[in-house]
Amino acid sequence: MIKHIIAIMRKEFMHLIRDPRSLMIALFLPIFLLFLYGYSVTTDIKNLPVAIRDGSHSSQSRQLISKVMNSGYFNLVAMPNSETEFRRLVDSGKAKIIINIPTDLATKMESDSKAVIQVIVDGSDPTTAAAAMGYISGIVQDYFSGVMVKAALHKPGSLVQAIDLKTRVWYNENLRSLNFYIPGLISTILMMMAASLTSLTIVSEKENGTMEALVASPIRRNELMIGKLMPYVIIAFWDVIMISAVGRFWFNVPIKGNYFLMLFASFLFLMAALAIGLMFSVIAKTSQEAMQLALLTTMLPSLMLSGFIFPIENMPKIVQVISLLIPARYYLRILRGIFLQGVGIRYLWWDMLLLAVFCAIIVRISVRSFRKRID
Amino acid sequence: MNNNEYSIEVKALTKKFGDFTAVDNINFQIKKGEIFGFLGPNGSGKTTTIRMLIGLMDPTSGSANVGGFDVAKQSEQVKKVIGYMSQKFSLYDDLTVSENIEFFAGVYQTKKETREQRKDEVIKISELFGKENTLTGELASSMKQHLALGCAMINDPQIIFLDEPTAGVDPVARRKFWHTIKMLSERGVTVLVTTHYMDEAENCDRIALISDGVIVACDTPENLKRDRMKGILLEIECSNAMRALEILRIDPSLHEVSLYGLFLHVVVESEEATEMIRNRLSDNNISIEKIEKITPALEDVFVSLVEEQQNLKLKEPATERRGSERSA
Repeated sequence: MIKHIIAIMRKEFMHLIRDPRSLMIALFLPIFLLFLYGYSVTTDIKNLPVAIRDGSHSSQSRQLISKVMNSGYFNLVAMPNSETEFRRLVDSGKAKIIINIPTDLATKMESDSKAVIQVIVDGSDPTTAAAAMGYISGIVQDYFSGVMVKAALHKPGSLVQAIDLKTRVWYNENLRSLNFYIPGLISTILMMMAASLTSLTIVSEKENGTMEALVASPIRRNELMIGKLMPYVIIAFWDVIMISAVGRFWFNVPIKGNYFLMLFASFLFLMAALAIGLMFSVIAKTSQEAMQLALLTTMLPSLMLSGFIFPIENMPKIVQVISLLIPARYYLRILRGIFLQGVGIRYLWWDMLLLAVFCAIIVRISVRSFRKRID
Repeated sequence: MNNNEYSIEVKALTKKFGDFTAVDNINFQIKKGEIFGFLGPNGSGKTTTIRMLIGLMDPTSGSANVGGFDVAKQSEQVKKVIGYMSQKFSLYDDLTVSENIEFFAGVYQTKKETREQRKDEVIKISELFGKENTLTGELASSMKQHLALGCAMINDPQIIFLDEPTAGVDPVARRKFWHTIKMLSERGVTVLVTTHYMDEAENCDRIALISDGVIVACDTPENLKRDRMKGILLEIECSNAMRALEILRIDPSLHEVSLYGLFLHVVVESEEATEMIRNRLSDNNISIEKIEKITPALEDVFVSLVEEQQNLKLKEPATERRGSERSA
């Protein structure tokens, strides 16, 4: 049993060594992908182009403008003189946000009546728009409440809105989106990589005619399939270590929980992903077909249905049920738990268990899908 | 193991793929140490038969016993006692010669004590001394075939199945290959080999001629040549063989006319037909160099038997069709 598996493993390693290009891809593509996507997925706002019309030209308006500019989120691209220029600025994409300060800002503020500031946001990119709106209203609120407190100090006896809401965010204190996205990227990249690694192993033997010698030999299918999986488990595990190191040390995503627990969960996840690839390799007639199946069925679901981009709680019930079939769903929760929350097995055991069950089922299905027959 | 004198016994073996019958109710026995040739054109059912005998395909009906095991029920035991060389090259091009041997030694789990000896043996059978560390993909195709034969012998099997082992191999290498096969048979290994080269078939102890999934004859090459030819075989050398072929084919009194290199081979009932052929050809302005009676080669026997078989088949569906019309 063991000897058969070792014979298959050794042969698979030989194939890898004789094909350095594929080996390099297997070993380093995930890291490259993490670098590439790690820089592109952030939804934090930085240097958003803003145009400001200052109709007031008062000390108050100048204070407000400098507050907006000093926040670090915005980049002042224009100071239009009239409202007629707004459309051109937004349509040409020069400005994503326009702040329109009315002429009567100073007088309204001094007379304690309500001042209105117009903010125009380009909504064609809703994520950015929503975030920018949040930032701006925060800055403006902050400015006005500061002014009001000062005014109250100057005029003893006047009433100040005394509610001061202090929110505190747990686990990802700066709401750094990267901290949230890196674990998701890790799971998506690993899933895709692992499934495509094994997707060629069986089908290429069919294409080369070597499968006939294997099925004519006394080797058992369990031995064959496990022997085929093992070398890729090692490669994929190397990918996990490298990719989590890049996440931790390059993108500064903290790993607050137990690193070994993360490795264990990664192992289960990898086995599941590799087994999915292997299964497609058995089913497919050509390597092209196997590769397509492996990529299509792993990549998009891991992105869309795992909770990586869209929260599972917001999905319709039926889609939530389907998402139970996506191993990335369990793995992602474990990763976020360990990376960001620093929680241990006490809180993660349920997801761990589901992942382990999923892994066992899919490995079994993929082994069983293989038949020692030619028909 | 069984002490039966037969290594392989096949009874009423049939394989159907949907409506198509690839192997149709075949029967034969192969003795220990015999070289048994399966001779037939491509698509006649040779490979399907072998695949059933080594447990790669389940028979639709019938049974076969290989090395004492039933192929349908004990296919995994069968696999342990046989060697198999498939039609398509089935070694790894990106592995070296010794790595390939090593791999198959691992898969067949040869015992540790005998492993080195088996590997040496395989190298010897393959005649690849000094090439152990060459990548298999870099070997000449005849060497590859020899290595595949060697690897099929890794587990010291009693029976080996060779599916068109010499396809695409040059004549000199083919002779060497057959030399190896004979050596194995002398050691008591039973060999079942398929081929569509007629000259190779003469090397076999016995031959089964297979056509459209049916064994049309099964005997030693000598017996086949002597007994299975109906009528007399004439060889004709003439100025325009193609034209002569067309003319003689339509003559109903001639059993069989075929092109054999530059000559025509014609099967006739008696030597009196010679005159008729002479007249027929000279009427058409074809000059005859010679007409003589020859002893048939296997190919002639084969052509004759296949034609007989097809004539039978042509009659059968016709009656069937009539039957179905009536019922409709």
